[in-house]
Amino acid sequence: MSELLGTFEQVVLLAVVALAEEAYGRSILRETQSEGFLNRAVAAGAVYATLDRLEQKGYLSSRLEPGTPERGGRARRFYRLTAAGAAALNETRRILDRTWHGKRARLEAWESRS
Amino acid sequence: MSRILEMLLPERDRQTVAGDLLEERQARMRREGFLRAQLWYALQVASFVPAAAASNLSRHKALTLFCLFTGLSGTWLGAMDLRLRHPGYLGQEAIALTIVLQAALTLCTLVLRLPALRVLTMAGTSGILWLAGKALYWLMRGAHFEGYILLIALGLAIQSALTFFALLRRGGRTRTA
Repeated sequence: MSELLGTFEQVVLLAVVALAEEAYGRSILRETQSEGFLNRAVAAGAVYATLDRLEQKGYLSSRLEPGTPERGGRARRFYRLTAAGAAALNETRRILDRTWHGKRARLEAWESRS
Repeated sequence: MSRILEMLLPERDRQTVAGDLLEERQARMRREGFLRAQLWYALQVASFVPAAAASNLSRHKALTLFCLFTGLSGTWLGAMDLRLRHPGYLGQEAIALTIVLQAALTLCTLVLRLPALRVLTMAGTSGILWLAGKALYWLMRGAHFEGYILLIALGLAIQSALTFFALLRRGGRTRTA
């Protein structure tokens, strides 16, 4: 059984999924800040620390590609979701769906009362 | 700023992360102007400090603890001297400030590993080692014993030894983990 992923780990992994072949540091940073994700500014340090951690856990793999002039010729690191990463994401979603099942209406009712 | 960023990053990410941020800064310069792009870049560089500090300081736990001890002791000494205002308290304030600044400088050097900071830290370490020696000599020759001075002087001496060991052993190399 995969471990339960944290919220930000899920966001970063889903950004990698959404970007597919275009998933490298800068595009992942932009994607996590976009409307479809967190819709707010995210610190680059947090994104790269999460990418490193997810790669160490085996949920992401990476490869280097040559740099472009606008980045001073510095290489790009592209990320890809691994099978273990996909399993962890699905497992987390299943657990959260199960946990939330039947509680959403109660929570909304409680929220509207308070 | 780019140099500081590279010092904060592990060698594996140094080129790629710096390139990503440079690329985004260029795009922001076109969209939002120079100042806003620079501000964004500075904030992003700052966001790497906690991870770099945790990573580098955890490899020098003893030195970090002694720096925290001497830094806090220096602050306490300075506050007490300022409150009591004994004759010649300004000299004591200068010593307290030196102890605090040296502790902060050593921690910065462990995190950033800039060669200039390393040289400055080594020079400062020689200074606080001299201060520690002078304090211990005064204690041995003095008519009365001050336990807190002994503690702070020993703390400074151990901090100096650990600093020399940490900085000379690594020879100013940047971190590779």
